[in-house]
This record gives sequence, C-alpha cells and structure tokens, in this order.
Amino acid sequence: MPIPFDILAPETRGITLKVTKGGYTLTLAANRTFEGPILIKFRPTDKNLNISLSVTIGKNAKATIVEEWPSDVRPATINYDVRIAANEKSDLRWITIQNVAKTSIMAEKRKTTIGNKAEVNIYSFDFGAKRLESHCEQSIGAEAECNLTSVARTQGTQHFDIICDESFTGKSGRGEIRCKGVAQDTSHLKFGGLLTIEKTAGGTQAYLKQETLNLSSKAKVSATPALNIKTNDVKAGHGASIRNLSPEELFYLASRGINEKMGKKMLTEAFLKEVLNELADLPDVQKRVTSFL
Amino acid sequence: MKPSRKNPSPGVFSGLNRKTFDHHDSTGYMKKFGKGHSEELVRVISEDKGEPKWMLDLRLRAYRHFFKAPLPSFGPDLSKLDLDGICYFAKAADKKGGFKSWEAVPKEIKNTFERLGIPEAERKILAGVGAQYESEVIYHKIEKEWARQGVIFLDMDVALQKHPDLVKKYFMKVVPITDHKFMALHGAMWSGGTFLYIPKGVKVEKPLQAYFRMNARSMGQFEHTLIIIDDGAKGHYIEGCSAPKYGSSALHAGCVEIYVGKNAKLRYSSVENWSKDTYNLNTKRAILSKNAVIEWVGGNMGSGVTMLYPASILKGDNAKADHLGIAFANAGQIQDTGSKVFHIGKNTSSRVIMKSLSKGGGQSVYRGDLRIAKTATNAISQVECDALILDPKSSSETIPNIESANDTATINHEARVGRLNEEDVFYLMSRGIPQEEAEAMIVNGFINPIVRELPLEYAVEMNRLIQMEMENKVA
Repeated sequence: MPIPFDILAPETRGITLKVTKGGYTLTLAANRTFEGPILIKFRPTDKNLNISLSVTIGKNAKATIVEEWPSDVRPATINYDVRIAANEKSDLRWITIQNVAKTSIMAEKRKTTIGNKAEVNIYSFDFGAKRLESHCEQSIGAEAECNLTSVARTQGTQHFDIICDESFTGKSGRGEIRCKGVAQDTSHLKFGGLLTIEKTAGGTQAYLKQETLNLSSKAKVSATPALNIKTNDVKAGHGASIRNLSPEELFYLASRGINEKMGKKMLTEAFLKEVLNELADLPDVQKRVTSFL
Repeated sequence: MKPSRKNPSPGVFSGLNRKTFDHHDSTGYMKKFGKGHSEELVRVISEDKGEPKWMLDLRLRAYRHFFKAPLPSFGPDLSKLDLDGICYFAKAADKKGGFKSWEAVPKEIKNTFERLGIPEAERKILAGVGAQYESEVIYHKIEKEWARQGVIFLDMDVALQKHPDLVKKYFMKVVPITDHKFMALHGAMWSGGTFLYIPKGVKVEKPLQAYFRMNARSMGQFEHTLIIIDDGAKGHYIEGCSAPKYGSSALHAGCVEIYVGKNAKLRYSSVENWSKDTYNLNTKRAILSKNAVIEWVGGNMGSGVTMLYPASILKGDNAKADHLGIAFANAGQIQDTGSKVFHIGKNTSSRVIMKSLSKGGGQSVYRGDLRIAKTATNAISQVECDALILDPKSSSETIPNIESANDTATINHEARVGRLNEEDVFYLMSRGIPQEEAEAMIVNGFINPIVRELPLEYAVEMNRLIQMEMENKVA
C-alpha cells in the first residue's frame, strides 16, 4: 500500500521516515532546529484508511509540524492513531488542519508524551468529517509544558466528539487546554476533557477551558471539563461556557451599519480566529484555516 | 448581649463535640430485630404500620426492582457495603406517631436529642420539629399558630394514615422507585420521615426541622421526606442527622421529594454528620412550577462514603434554583457530592456554588449534571466549584456534565483547586496572628459564602463541625 501522505519540508536533513510493520515512523534528529514547518499532507483517496504514525522529536530539537487533511480525502472511514514523543528539552509545535470530506467517519487518537523540560504546543482545527471522534491525550513530564488548543466548527448534520486529556506526572509542569467550538444547523458538538495531576506532580499549574457558541435552535452542544487532583501543591482550574452571540455586540455592529447576518458572521469568525494570532509566523496556516471559516 | 453572628447565643449548638455524636444509648431493643432484607420483612414493615394496600404493592414492586437494578456505574466503590449485614427496621420506643411531648419520650432517647440541642432549638427558633430515632419518629410537633393556618407537619407514617390521598398523589413520583438501586431499596424499606404541606399563600417565617438519628450498630435508615409548598407559600425546612461510630457499615438511603407550587419558595437546609462508617446514599429532588424558587443549602461533613446530588427540575417558566454546598472529606472519607439542574421552562435560572475541603487522605468529588432542554428559552446557569486540598495526601475531583439543546441559553462553569495560599497565611502571621489561627481564618473565609446563608444557630453548628474536622490541623 502506498504511503497515504507526503512529507514536505524546506530542509530534509535530520528527518527520517520509515515504513514498519505496524505503520510509519517519523524521526526528527536531536539537537537540531528545523527551520520552516514540516508538512504532513494526506493524499486524496476514496479507500478506507487505517493509519498508525509514530513521531519522535529528538532531545533539544525544535520543530513545527503541520498535518493537513484536505477535503479530497474522502474514504468512508478513517482510523488514525498517532503517537508523538517529544524528548527532553525539545520544543515542538504541532498543528492539525482537518477538513476531510463531510461524508467520512473519522476516529483519531493522538497520544503525546512530553519529556522533562520539553515544550509542546498543539493546535487542532477540525472542520471536516460527517462524524468525528477525536481523543487527544498528553502526558507531561517534570518542568515540561504542554498547551493544547482545539478549534472546531460543526455544520449541517455533523457530529463531533472531541476529548482532550492531560496528565501531569513530574514536578512543576505547566499546561492549558483550550477548546473553542461553534455549532450550527442540526449538528452536535461535544467537548470532553480531564486534567489529572498525580501525587508526584507537586508545583503543577494547569487549566482547562471549553467555550462553545451554540448558533442554532436545532444544534446540541455539551461540555464536560473534569479535574482529578491528587496532591495539594497545585494551581488548577477549569471553565466552560455555552452561549449564543451577545445581542449587545450585534447591536453595536448594527448601530455601525452592519446588518445582523454580517454581524453574526464577523463575530463568529472573530471567536474562532482569535487563536490564529498566535500563529503569526505561519501565514500559510492562517490562510488555510481562514479559508475554511 | 443580643446574639449576633460574632457572638451567637451560647446555647443550642455551640457546645457540640465529638462525644456528642459518638455517644450511643443502650441497644437492648435490637434483640427483637434481625439483619438482612426479604420480601417477608417488606410485608412485616407494611403490616406494622397498618398501611393501605397500594403502599404495600408499591413496596413489593420496589423490592423486585431492587434485584434487577445494578449498582451505580460511577462514583465510589460500594462493593464493601454488606447489604445482608444491615438492620432495615428497628424501633427503640414502640409508640405509633411518636410521643406527645419531650417529657414523655424515654429518658435515654430524650437525653440524646437534648445533647444534640434539638428540644432547645425547638423552644427558641423553630416553628416545628420532628425527631427520628432508628426507623421511627419518636416526636413530631408544630406550633399551634402554623397548624391553625393549615400547615401540616407530620411524621410520614402518620401522614399516610391521616392524608392517604395527598400522600398517594405525590409519593415517589419525583423520585420513582426505578430511579436507581438504592431508591428501589428505599421504596421497599422506607420508614419514618417527614411530611410537610404549606397551604396556598401561607408564609412560614420560622424554620421547621427534622433530625434523624441512628443509634445501633449496622443500622439502615430509610426515612422518606415529602414536602409540598402550595402556590404562593413559603417555608424553610432544616434537616440534621448523625450516628455514633461502631466500625461496621451503616446505611442511610433516605429520599426527599419536594414540590414547589407557582410563586412559592422553599429553602431546604441540611447539616449532615453521619458517622464515618456510614454509607450515605441519599436522593433529594425538587420539581418547580412557574415563578417558584428553591434554595438548597447543605453541609456534608460525616459518612465514610457519600453519594448525594440534590436535583432541581425547573419545569415552570421563570423558576429558579440555588444550590449552595460544603463538603469536607477527612481521613477515610469519600464525599461524592454535587448537584443536578434540569432547565425545562422559559427564563429559568440556576446558580450552583460548591466548596470542598480535603484533608488527611480524604477524597472530595464534585459531580454535576446541568441540562438545558429545547423548551428552556433564555435559560441562565452559573456554576462555581472551589476546592481546597489541605495536605499532599488528599485529593479533589470535579466532574461536571453540561448539555444544552437551546441556542438562547447562557451557561458558565468555573472551578478552582488549590491549597491554602502561603502568602495569605504569611500576611496574617505578619500581623501577629499565629499560623493555626491564620489558617483557620482562611478556611472560615472560604466556606463563609455558604455558611452565611444558614440561620445563625445552624451557621454556628456548621462552623463547629468544620472546626472539629480541622482539629489537629487548624484548631
């Protein structure tokens, strides 16, 4: 079976892709800074996909990986299992732009292990698939940091179930999970999440936030932000909000001559695009995500 | 000196101590009562109370369902709860409907309630009081003034005899016997409890209290509380409970059903202090009509395992629910508490404020369920959970579930977990306050938003109970 994705990078030195019995292994060499984003772009296909990908970021390495699932990936089912190991003191930015055909059923499992003193920032943008079940788990070592931002929009009859969990095992870890979603039409959007701080993880600071805009009387949304704190030397919290667009904001825009339809569009885009400001050095990613909004 | 929050009345609950709760009276009467459950026992309980046939039928249906229903699939491990080792029905004083006055109550039982401050509270601050000892109510009384206005405040067994139609209409309708395994068991074994009816437009300004006391080893208490607040009426019901510690499992599976009519208001306060070997698997639920208000104010200090999630069903338009609670999980305790709110009517609103403390390896859990139905236009809900973990051995969990099927709803949930802020303690110490006192002040400040909602005497009781739990940490 051909490799279902292409890897495009400004510089390929230090990047190794191997095909193994169990799937694919991508290794980024230690002690290197990889300039420019490394793109994993999935190829167009109608055939069902069962992909297992293992990604290792070497010690002290620094890289940005952009994973793109375009709309011409249109199999009936996609099972995607990705394991990421960010070794000690590495610095990884992982961006997923998922816009597979709205006829596909996608199950994604992403497990990330963050080594001591490493930093990982994950951005996940989900727009495609008829049904999406996404489970992201991060395990964070001592003095390491992991921030996860999940942005999702559901339209038509789409049904998304997105779970983002983080567990802290080493001392003085840092982390934030941020979920932002918009539900329209008759879609379902569900955010789940669990922050676990183990007994061994004194000095941890962690936060989990789920914000959802419910824009349709026929849509269903839910939020389950959970905490499991097993020691006292922590600062942890979570927040969740479910609301519609603020009538005051719409009124403000209307008073400036912007009609309600345009006002709603602007406010919804602003709500979702807020996180794109953090990717200012990746204009192609910003452009791509904006095009789906 | 006039009592105030700073200088409360010295009487009533300010003198409570561990001995008060751990003291147990002689249990000679238990020779007559066996352990374990059976259909025969269900029939014996019903016959002993002289119940109508419909109630026996309900009990038998519930008992059959008990075998079919599984244990809860969430929460603490209940596998060590030996249901065959529990005594489901026992009477210390065989007096149907209770005694007419405290003087007539057998001395030993009366002394127990005296130590708990109940008769004194009745004299000073309450409109009525009920006292249950093991499976039956031994005393129940309401001030004449309120009885004259049509307020019915009775032992549940007596209410079934005197007002069978009213009881039949409401009994186990908000909480059906099929709700979960322990409600099926409750439906089969229930005994005692309180029936409160406040007629249309009557506003009972003083609180009414019921106190539930288990005395013997391995007791099970299954009191049923049914509260009906008719249209435009208002009331405040307070529930207290305790049991001595024996080192063998006891079970409390009570049920509280509340109906709040149009424009009516009820405040339901409870201070729960069962012994640390009690499984407190209690179910409380209220259904609200148009413009109705319910306020739940609760403190869970006792029990080894607690699973308690008061629920409000906001059926009528503009109905409102407040859930305010404190849970203290000390060594060996699991306080799995929370709240459930179901928004059905238009413009309904809810507010949940929960504070938990964990110490000595205790586990506190907030479990919430908030649902907004399609019909609940403009529903608003605000949930705040704060947890303090007082040492590295203890833990805290927050598990809320929020679901909305209405695009006009506004829901906010916030939770924070942490320890006592060292900078705050240091600040107070730098002003000459000893460390333990400084820590106690911060803990008091933490729980104050809930405690201040209680009547003065009960706020004192709550503070005293928290203080007892904090002993050896902060006095």
